[in-house]
Amino acid sequence: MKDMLKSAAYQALNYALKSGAEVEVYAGSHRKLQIEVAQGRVETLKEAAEAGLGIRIVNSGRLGFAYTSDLKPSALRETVDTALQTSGYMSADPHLNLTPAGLIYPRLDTYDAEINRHPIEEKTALAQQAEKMARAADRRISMVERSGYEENEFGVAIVNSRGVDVYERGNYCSLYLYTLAEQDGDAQGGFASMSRRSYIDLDPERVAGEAACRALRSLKARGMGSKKLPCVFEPYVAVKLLGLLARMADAEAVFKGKSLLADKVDRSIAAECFSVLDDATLDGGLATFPFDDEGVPAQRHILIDRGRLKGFLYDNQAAHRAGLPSTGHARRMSFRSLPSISPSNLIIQAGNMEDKKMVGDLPEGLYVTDLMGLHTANPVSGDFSLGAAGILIQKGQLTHPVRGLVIAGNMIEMLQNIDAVGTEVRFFGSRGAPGLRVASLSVAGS
Amino acid sequence: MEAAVLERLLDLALQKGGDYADIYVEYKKNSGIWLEEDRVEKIHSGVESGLGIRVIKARQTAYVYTSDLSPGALENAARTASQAINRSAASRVIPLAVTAVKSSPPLDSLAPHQVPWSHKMEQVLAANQAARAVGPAIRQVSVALADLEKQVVFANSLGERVEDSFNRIRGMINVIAGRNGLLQTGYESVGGVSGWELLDEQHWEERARKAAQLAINMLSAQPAPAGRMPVILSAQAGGTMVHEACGHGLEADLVHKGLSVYKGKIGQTVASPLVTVIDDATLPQRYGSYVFDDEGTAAQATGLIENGRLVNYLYDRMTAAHDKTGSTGNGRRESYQHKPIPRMSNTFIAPGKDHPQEIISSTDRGLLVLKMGGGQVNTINGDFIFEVSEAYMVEAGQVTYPVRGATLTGNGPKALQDVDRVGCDLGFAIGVCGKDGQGVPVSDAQPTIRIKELTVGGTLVKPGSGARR
Repeated sequence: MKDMLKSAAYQALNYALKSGAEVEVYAGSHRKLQIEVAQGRVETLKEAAEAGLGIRIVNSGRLGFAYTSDLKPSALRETVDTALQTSGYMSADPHLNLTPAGLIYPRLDTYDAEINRHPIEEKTALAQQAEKMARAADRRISMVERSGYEENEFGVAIVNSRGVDVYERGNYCSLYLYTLAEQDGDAQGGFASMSRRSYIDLDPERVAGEAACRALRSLKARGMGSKKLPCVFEPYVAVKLLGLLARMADAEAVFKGKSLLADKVDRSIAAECFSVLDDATLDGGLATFPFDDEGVPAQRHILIDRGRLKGFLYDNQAAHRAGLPSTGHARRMSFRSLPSISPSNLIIQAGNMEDKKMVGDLPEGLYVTDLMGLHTANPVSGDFSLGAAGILIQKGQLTHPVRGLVIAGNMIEMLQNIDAVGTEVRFFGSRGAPGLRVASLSVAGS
Repeated sequence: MEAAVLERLLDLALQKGGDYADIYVEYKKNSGIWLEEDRVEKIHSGVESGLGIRVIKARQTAYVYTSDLSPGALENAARTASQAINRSAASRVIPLAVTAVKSSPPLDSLAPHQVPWSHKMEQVLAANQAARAVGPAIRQVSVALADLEKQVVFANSLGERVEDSFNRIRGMINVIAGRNGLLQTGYESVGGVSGWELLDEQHWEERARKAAQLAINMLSAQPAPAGRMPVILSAQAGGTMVHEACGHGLEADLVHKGLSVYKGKIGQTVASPLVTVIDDATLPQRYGSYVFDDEGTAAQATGLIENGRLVNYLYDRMTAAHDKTGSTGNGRRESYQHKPIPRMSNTFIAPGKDHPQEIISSTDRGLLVLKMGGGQVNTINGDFIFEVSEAYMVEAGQVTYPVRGATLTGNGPKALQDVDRVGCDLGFAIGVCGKDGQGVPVSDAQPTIRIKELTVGGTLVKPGSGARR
């Protein structure tokens, strides 16, 4: 695959260089295997292979972009021509720039040959095993809708007119489950997943237990009245809030006045117990890769240091605009898209209070187990109004589940209101967080 | 792709047995323009092709896809699919019909590739200028225009072959207005299975002005009150509610898996007698329209709820076979990379008898919603939350003041039971609907309706509000 991608990338590059413009070619391949099991039998087996390349042309500061899944020489030439043609309609941007050659890339472990080595039957058995464990967890688990094993393998080659020439491949595997719990006419769904860079790290028992628990603990939820309450966000929910923060830390959003963090560098935006790290070199991280999707080396950055905002996430273009080096945060969904800014492994750092104590301290509070509608939060004002479900805390104990709640507030006020951070960081995809406790939030019930 | 090649691949796919096999080949061209900060920031253009092969045996599906259309890669894909779930003798493939059933865009429609880049750029810039001209409070305008030209070849082991080609256009305008540190947004979109003429037909520049006006209006809005109250959803809010809170629960795969509140309720009353819900993929030019679904079944109009009674679900081939009924033409997929599953197309609540204005004037106190934002729904229990982009308080039958930051939470089936007024108008909204990791274009619509009571979540929490039972 490496040779095919590189050869196609160089063919496109060499043809495009004749135009005299600056050129970057991103060639990507993706292979996927997915096995979904229900009632002990394989329901869907999916195998996939795709490859393609995307060409960026910087023609006197004007950006052209085109992509193709057809890697024949004639198709590559047509794609270059389209990119050149479209660049003619753009206005020049002095900040556009391609990665220079001669940068030093970290050596990172991104490929586990074991994933490929195990037969499909064994992977199917893993999913079947997880399903069985979830069903056995409790009588009230009426069904496992789906239990799945998935593996993804991808290769990326980037070459450009400044001499960058990089290739790396990576893979990871996942287990996931959707469960259904039923009791006295009430039905609740539960979902859990686990993605690992090493095959040996997959743990069906843990995923099954979690998927079962998430469905069971929501059964027979009640409503509650509206009040201000201390809220404990479990790691799964804290990670969702982290996503909102990532949108605000995007340097492009900052430049465009779309982030309330714009004027807050070196200022305190959160409680002192709150620190956030972005680390593309993290051992075993799902987003760990030696370079970003413009070919900039992987880096490690502290975004929030004990409540203080330290900086933003940059790609080449945003970095030039700010007069800073790129932080290596250019990401593409695939060869079909232009790079845009996105975090790598983004982590809320562990604090010093155990989850049990976070709850145990509270005479009354809400243990939040789900938030809905996070994408609706306003990154400019920081205002949010989110659907929530959780478990009511009374006298330091988790009591009964509650649902149909709305938690409203403001992101910055909430971050400053954090009064405890948990000790154990849990990862969901490339994002990790411990539990968080916020001293007071407005919770609207029914 | 020639019939002989398709037949050979179908043969290979069923060489180790199976009940059914099909092939979906896709060729598509995408292009898009993105404007922000008064300048075109991104243009993209791409070509992509690929093929997906599916083999079904009882309730099992093998799905293999590849973007490599070389003969070797295709045969390899067919063999992989055949080996995935089958270990028996070859199944019979019925020879493909000599002539494929074909559909193509109307001749008088302007295909995206016929429109020069320069003209597309002008239209993007025109929308930007129209929005900015609305007032000095406008801080930021983003405009996107995207088009797709797609050709599909479909063939299956039942001897059916379909060739379909169509164009789809989508445009959107997002405006941010600011005053005294307060920022508000306004959003409008247009879209349809259509040629470039759609932009004129859907008044593109006027929509840009509308988005700008909304952002400005919301600057003088007051924080939304929280609590339970009657909610009037205007026709112009579109049918997000019926799509999210009801439509998903009517998709047969979710019903079969026991993940729908509508399971086992055919023939039962599930909504107010004023409510009739229809899914209709044959509506001309709508964003969710098609001639054939993505497994070669002709599009149709399907009555789902008639005067409050549940009459049907949305089926693809596989779920229809399970219920021993016919597909309703709702087997859809995002691309060759996905297997088809039951999906909505254009879903709407049918218009009733009431005059929209009269619905407002007969409401003592409530929330009037003119524009919905994003939302999320739990299909298992029907709980939903929606963001509201544009809303007004109604007091003593009069629209009084705009409110911001409101959300609607409730339960889909309960909300449909609680519909007590249905207007004689009908308004559409468009979107990309996500399910099982696949996004497909849909539209949804409703007349102006009133729901007796929903929970409005606002930023303004009144002490002692709520908790009324």
